[in-house]
Amino acid sequence: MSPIVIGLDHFLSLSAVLFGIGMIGALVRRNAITVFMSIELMLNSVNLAFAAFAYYRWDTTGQVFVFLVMVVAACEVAAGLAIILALFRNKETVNLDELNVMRW
Amino acid sequence: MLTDWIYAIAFFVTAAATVASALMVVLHRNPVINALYLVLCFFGVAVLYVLLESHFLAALQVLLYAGAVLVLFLMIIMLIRLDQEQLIKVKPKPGKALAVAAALGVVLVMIGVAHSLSSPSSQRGAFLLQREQPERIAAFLLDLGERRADLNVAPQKEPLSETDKVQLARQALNALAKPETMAKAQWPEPFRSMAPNRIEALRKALLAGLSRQWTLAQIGAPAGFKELNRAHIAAFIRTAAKARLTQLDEFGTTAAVGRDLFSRYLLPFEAASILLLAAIVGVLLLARRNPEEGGSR
Repeated sequence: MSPIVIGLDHFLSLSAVLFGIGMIGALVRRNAITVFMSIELMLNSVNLAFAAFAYYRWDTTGQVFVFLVMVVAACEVAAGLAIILALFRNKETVNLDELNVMRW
Repeated sequence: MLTDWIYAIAFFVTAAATVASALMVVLHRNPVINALYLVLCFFGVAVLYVLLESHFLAALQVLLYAGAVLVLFLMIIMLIRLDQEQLIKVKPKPGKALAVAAALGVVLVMIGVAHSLSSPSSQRGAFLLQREQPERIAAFLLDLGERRADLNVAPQKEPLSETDKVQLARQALNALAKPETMAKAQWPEPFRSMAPNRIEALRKALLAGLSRQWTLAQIGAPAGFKELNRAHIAAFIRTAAKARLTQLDEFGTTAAVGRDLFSRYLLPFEAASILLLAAIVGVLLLARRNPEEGGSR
């Protein structure tokens, strides 16, 4: 029995599944913090796809991009959580359904 | 054979754990539990990075995500009252079903694209060969154009297809694209005395030839390089192959990523540092109390 060879498509499929789970979380959950975690999940899945392409093309460029995405994700988490904290101070809630002051 | 099995088992176990913890992140109602499963998910991705031989990224993943980001999440959760979402009775909305359907559609499309990539070249071609038989690649690349008897080549299980050969040669020529690699390459005559831009022109001409689906046998001296014969071209590709082999050895190390980051991607790197600075300033401004609340310092 020949072994299952893990190829680029396996990693990309896993990345797609993780992205989908993150997307469902970001769209369905109403807690702002959990929505943020879901977005982190999506960023991670994209990183995984980058790393997989880097590996199967054996090219370091993809890893540089993962590094840059990680930097952006770190900034985004810091700024986003600060915004959530500021919202909580003003509105006493992190439920996104109630945070609709910007809706017209 | 055995390593293939181990690799496959490691992949599927890690993938299952990662997907399961990702589902818990999304499905569990308690944000603290979500955050803890998120750590598990991040560690799973770190293991996948190790499987992809991206050790630098695996270290970064653990330090940055599992370390810094998670601490930040947990801190904010502690600062915010937890019972918010648990108290609210979530009423089913048609929008949610639509969102899930949209997400599933996106996943299906992406998996479809992933499977369209599982062509023979990504399954059994040069990609795979690089992982499985580095010594064979080394032999082939050094052998390119000119037989070398002194190489101790392992008996070939299956001959390389012409497509694989062309792909390897193209990758070798691409490896020369970076100026520092071009400068570092040990050029034989007559290339040693050539101007760098002329060498670059020759490299591009050879790449263009390979892109036109030429076989390696058809690659000769391109127009404008009449002084070169087939042996010269073979020597050129061999030099490219050596540069490529150095690149192959370095893949995934901090040195390789760092070299790219500080040469070819210096501008994005500096832009990232400015982004970090902007984030620091922005977060400090957000965290400061409003002056009208009387907390101005």
